[in-house]
Amino acid sequence: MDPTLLGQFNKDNIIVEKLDTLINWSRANSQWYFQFGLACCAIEMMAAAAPRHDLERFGAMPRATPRQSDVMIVAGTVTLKMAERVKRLYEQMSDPKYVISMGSCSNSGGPYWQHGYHVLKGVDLVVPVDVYVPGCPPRPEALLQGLLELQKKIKTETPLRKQA
Amino acid sequence: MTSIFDSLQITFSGLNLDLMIVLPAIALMGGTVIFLLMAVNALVAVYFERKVSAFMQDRLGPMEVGILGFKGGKRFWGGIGQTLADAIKLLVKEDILPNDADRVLMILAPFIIFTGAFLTFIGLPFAENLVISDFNIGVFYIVAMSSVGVIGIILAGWSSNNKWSLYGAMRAAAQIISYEIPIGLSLLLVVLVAGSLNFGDIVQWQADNRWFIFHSPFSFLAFFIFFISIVAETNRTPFDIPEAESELVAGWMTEYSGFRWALFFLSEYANMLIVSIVASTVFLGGWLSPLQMFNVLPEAWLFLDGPTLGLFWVFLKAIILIFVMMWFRWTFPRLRVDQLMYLCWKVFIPFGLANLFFISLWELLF
Amino acid sequence: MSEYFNNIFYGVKSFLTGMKLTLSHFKNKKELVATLQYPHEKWPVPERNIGFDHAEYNLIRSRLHVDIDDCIACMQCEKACPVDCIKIDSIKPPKDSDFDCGMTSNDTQKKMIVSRFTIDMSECMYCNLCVFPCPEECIYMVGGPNASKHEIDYEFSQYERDGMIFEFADATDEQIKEAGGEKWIEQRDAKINKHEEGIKLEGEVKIAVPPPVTTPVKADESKPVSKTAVKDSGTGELEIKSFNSISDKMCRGIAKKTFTAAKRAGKDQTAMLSDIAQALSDMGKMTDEIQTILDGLPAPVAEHVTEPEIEQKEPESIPVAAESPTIFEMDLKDLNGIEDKMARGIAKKAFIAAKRAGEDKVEAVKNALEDAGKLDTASEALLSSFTAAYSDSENLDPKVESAGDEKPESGEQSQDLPLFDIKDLNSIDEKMARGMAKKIYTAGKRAEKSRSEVIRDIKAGLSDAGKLDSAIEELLNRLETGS
Repeated sequence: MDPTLLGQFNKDNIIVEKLDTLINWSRANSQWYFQFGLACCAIEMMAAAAPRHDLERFGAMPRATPRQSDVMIVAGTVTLKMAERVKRLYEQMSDPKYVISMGSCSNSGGPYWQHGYHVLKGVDLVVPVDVYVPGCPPRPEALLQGLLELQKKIKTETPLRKQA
Repeated sequence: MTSIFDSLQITFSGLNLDLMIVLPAIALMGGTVIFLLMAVNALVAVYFERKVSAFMQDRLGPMEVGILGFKGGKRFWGGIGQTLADAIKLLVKEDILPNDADRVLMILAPFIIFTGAFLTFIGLPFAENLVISDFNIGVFYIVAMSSVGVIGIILAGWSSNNKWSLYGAMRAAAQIISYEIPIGLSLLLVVLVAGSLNFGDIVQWQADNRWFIFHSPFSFLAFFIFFISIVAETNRTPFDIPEAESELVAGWMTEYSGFRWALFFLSEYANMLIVSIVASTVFLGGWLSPLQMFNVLPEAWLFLDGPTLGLFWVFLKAIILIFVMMWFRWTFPRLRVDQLMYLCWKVFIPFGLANLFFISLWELLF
Repeated sequence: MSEYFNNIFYGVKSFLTGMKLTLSHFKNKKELVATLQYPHEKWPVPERNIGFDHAEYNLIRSRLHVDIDDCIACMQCEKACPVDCIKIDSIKPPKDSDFDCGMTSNDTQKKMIVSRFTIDMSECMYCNLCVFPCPEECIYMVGGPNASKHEIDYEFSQYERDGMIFEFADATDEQIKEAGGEKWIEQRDAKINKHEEGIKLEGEVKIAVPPPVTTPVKADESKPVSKTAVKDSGTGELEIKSFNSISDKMCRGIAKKTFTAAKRAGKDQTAMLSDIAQALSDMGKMTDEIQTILDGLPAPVAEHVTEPEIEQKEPESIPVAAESPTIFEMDLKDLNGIEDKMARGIAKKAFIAAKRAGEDKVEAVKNALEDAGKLDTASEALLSSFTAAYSDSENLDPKVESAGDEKPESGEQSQDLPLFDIKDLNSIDEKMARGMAKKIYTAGKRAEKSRSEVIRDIKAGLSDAGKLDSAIEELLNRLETGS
């Protein structure tokens, strides 16, 4: 029983829980995405950021640099050449970071899963993926729903407490 | 005009405390107010910018993030909690200092820029007697202090150990230093006519005569030059080569993440507020109401003036100018760096100098 | 100079035009804002006309759905899929069974039940090509014109990659067994077990074993060898690794412990083996298979005859690659050791001809080389090594599937020869005759007839059809007498 203030963070109590909620809320609602458009899914990502279906309504601002972004939307076919770079850029992102895999090609190699000798069969072989958005390419609404799923996932995290 | 500093000193003099205690206390109070002002400004300005940019692009800005009962969704106020979420998120983000980067300089750079903006607020008048410190060289002080930011930018670009950051920083430095000349020339015009560097005197002159912008066609031109130059000073589009997204990733800010970047962001919006207030004070009459635009109405009709209303007028004019700056951003494509330099050195400076010449003629004749 | 001023004037003018445009967008935001606020508003069908009729073609590329009750397992969609993301396994009940597979909603009698119908939506490219060939219209993209059958769904993001593999078949295990699909269930369970075994990392993974190399030429090491062959060090001595083929972990442990103890005590091989056998029986873990292994151990080099038996008795749940169970079966690639190109070519031709005719391949190759005058000492040595091995495993049919047919049919035949392979009938040139012969052969095989009986049936069948000519008869006689 650690009676100090910092020790309170090891147990569940109302302060910690409320703080957790606050931090999760702020992280979930302000997911700045690192636009990693590689192929056709990039067009749908752009369409999702365009006025018709607006990603910025959810607070997702596009940032061009990995240092300032929270979520990396890997959109498109990840070739073996590019896979190295994907991993490198993922490592340059600052914590907490998430990855959304958009489209069939980055989910599992997609249409190239059988004979594609140059394609990485799923980006989750190099980076840990949080949400998989299916589609070839996914509709912008599907990407938005993927982002909402990610928000749901973030809201179940416990950044201050040690146990899950 | 009396400054807050002086008035607080007078207030505290009754307490008969040692000057060593009174001065820092006053400074602290003033500092806190300024800091709060900067923070609130950042919050509001960022939300404002995102909404304005969205409406200009036929879309809605942040809509889903509500705050304290103002729920998000399909409502007019949906999304006002957005900037607060951004701010808290940036606070708890990881702080990355690249391995090969110059640690000291990298940590120092955001603070230098922040300090530049912070110090500028000291000489800025918000209303008739609401200035933290009444400098006799007010205008000069403002221009000098806003140049401190350049050092921070260069340090940021250099210490990131990233060639693209360095490019961005060098371009930013070139841009800011170049555009200070047209700013100086335009302000010089005002000082020439008003006869003093003090903000209070300048606004007094405008109260006695017209608003400066309507004084002569040359002063109108001077306002035009001044306004575009201050857009360039603060690195806003169309002059945002230093932070060009598609060219230099994020320019000199690339390697910054989390709270340090938030400081940069904050100082950028604080700079915008500063230059807007300066423009509104010097050219648009400061705390004078629109009824005094041409100074034709008799004294009795000037009911919209007053110490508290003065504050309102200053901020209203500043906000309008900020809106115009955002309007610029979403209208114009980015200027190439050589076009930028051409504009400064070959268009604004000749016109500024010609302006000075012609306004002196005007003053002689009229 | 005037250009300078022109530029400035033009600049100012365009500046003002641009500003006006943006301001107009800002002011008319009520009419001009084009956003569909997603979670609250959705638009499934594009409004504009793009040439197709909305009612007939699904314009939204949404999830695939299968009405499994309508599926007749015709595999058209599986074949049509360009990406091979649909995987269908179907079980056909045997002819004499009276299992009723059901009727589709279009009143078609189903002849097979579908035991597995998996669509991996993370591989699918949403091209709709599987929708058109289906004769029962049971696979479709949901929504759009199919909205009456299933509402639209294109937003099914998952947290796990496996969440996008949709299994549509709903046949229970009992139904599959009833329809005669026990083998399929076994295979499926075997795969699951192997997967889980891998997850739990139970003991050592059984690895393939290369044979002791006794030939001076390069033996073919790329052949897929059986998974449970006994390994030895090549010198004929018993090593602890020889016990790796015992699958049960406890037994293996006991055997190895006893082995090390005996070795330390300096006993010889037979004594060691009897010790091990004793220890295992004491613990009550001696089984027949282990007995066979232990029997097979003392003379590791020559006893490869026992290997195929070990394979068949080992509970190997994965069907072994049925290419060549014994390592000493001569293959075409073994002839690559012959360096002279002409000789190699001759040897290989003779080999293929002999194989097709079902003759002794080694002899044929030897004869051919002799005739061509190219038989030298190296190739002779190579061939003789195969001869030795081949004569040992003469009884074996290279194809392991018909191993069960090795047991002769009781009764009239004095020779119990195993059934020849269906490929041996390939030398019948005429297509009709060949087809008939093969049909009769498969019927005979299924009825478990012996070689002579089958050949008799083939002869009868062909002569009935009037296709029995001298060449075929000669071939059949040769097959009857065996190679």
